[in-house]
Amino acid sequence: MKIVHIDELPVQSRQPRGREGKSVKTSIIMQGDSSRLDNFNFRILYDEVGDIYSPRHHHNFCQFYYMLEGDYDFGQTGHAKQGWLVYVPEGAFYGPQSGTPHTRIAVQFGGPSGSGFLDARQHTQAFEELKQLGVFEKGIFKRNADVPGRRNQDSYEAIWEHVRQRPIGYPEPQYPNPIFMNPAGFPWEPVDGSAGTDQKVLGILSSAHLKVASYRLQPGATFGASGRGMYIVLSGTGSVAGNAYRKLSTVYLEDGEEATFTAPELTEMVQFGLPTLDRISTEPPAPQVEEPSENTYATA
Amino acid sequence: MDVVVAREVTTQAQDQGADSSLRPGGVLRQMLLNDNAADGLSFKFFRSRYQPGEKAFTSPRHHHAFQQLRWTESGQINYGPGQYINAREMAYFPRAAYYGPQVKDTGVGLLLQLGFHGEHQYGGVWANVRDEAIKRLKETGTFAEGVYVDNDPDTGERRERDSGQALYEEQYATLTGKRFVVPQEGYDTPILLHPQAFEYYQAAPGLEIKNLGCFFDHPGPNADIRLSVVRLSSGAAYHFGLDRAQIAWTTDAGLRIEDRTYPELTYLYSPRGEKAEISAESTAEVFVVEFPRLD
Repeated sequence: MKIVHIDELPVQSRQPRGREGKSVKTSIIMQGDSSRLDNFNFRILYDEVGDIYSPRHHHNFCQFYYMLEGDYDFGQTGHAKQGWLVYVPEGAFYGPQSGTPHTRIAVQFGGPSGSGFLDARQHTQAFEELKQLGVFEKGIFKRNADVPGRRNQDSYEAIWEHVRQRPIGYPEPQYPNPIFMNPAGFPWEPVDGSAGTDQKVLGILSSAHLKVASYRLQPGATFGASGRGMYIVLSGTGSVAGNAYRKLSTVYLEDGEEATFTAPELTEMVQFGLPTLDRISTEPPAPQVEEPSENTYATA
Repeated sequence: MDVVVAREVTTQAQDQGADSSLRPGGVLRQMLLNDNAADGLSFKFFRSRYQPGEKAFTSPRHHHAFQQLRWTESGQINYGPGQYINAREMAYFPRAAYYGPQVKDTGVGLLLQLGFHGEHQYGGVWANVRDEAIKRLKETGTFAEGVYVDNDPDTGERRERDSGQALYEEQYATLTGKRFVVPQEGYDTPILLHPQAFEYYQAAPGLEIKNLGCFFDHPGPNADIRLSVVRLSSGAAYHFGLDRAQIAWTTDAGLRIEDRTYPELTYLYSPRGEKAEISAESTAEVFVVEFPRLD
């Protein structure tokens, strides 16, 4: 188990690394193991001005968002509001994204297709190296005329291929659009065997059985958390496995780990489930011969 | 267990049926299965062949208090601007999530609607008040192009409602004396699924399963709707348990149930409290929906 308190983390101006939004600040909360297919990056992003922009695109990894403050527009694929959770499946096209000022927590992770996830160090190093070979503009990497390869390429794809040294492949999305979940629309239900604890299970998603849930612990309640994933405390103070928690404390549990939350006061938190290795394919998707037809997946 | 086969089920044109005054279109429909179960579950499951031109099914942007699952057998079926369910793909329509306007003018597909305690109103006690409710609605307003138009009794202002929604509200008020309320949506939009993008895992020799997702529109440990695909090889069996009602269907010939072999396009309903077993003569892919349980 790992616990990190977001309010103790240094806030950095985020290197744009190919996307617009120079005013975005971020704190890395936790990172996984880049040698594993279930690698992840868990961070908080502060878009104080609302100038972030990403073109319509897709990734070969999965994402969860929790909107702490403000809204975040996903273009024709939807609009996330404060308090909502969003699951972006690997391979699903989404955006273009543009922000009004907002703060969101994001988990990016290797999904069931086995494509894995690049960590920030790999990403940044490749970004710097690619700047010698072209320019990044509005999410597109434009190669210099004398550099072999595609003239214009999605910036993340260019970075991924530079790191892996092979063409990128995208899984066919299991769900072709992001899923937007508003916890306010789900009723509370008691958790069996955990008096004083209520939950809202928002979904069990994908072939990796990713559990998404909200929890509410009444004063005096204890709650046994288990399963690989993140728990983010939204309000309240208490203890978990001998550590104090408070608002925006985050707890990571590895597969097979358990931790008991003890709440002397009302506590609310959300859970993002992460895949276990036995639910991740060991045969990553092959590179596409043709560009996929993103219009097929449009959601208006 | 109830089992029906598409070629043995009567087809009715929508514009000659009871819905003709509510929704425009000449959809060719086969009512496959339906029930009003003791635990409050109400569902209907039907197969539709959509028609082009003036016989297209259209509806305005709207939402329901019930849940839906749509699966396209052939072609592609529209459910909103630029939104289609392609062949052998499905979409889950969460309770209260808005969708449309839709124009269904091509393709063949299955539609499952389900709800509890008046969220879904079909047959049973609802059939008893349907004609009365439609009559009353027509006395105070008009149905046109899937929209019911009347004047707000309090303000006198003109108002428009989805015609199906207006009927639900009227039937519910007639039967219960209470106002029908569609709850706040938990999922914002319909969820499109690509079953072909999921890998099978072997659950037993000759039995493979894809778990497509569990969606929770009701509270409770068994209140999720569970979607999966089962692939049976010869000699293997899949068991429908006692604890949940389930719907299943296949496009493959050779499904075996209780010593009978069924042809392509077979549909089955295993009510809660009953056990059932299916097997296959050769290989059969079966789509399975496990209904929510509220207790």
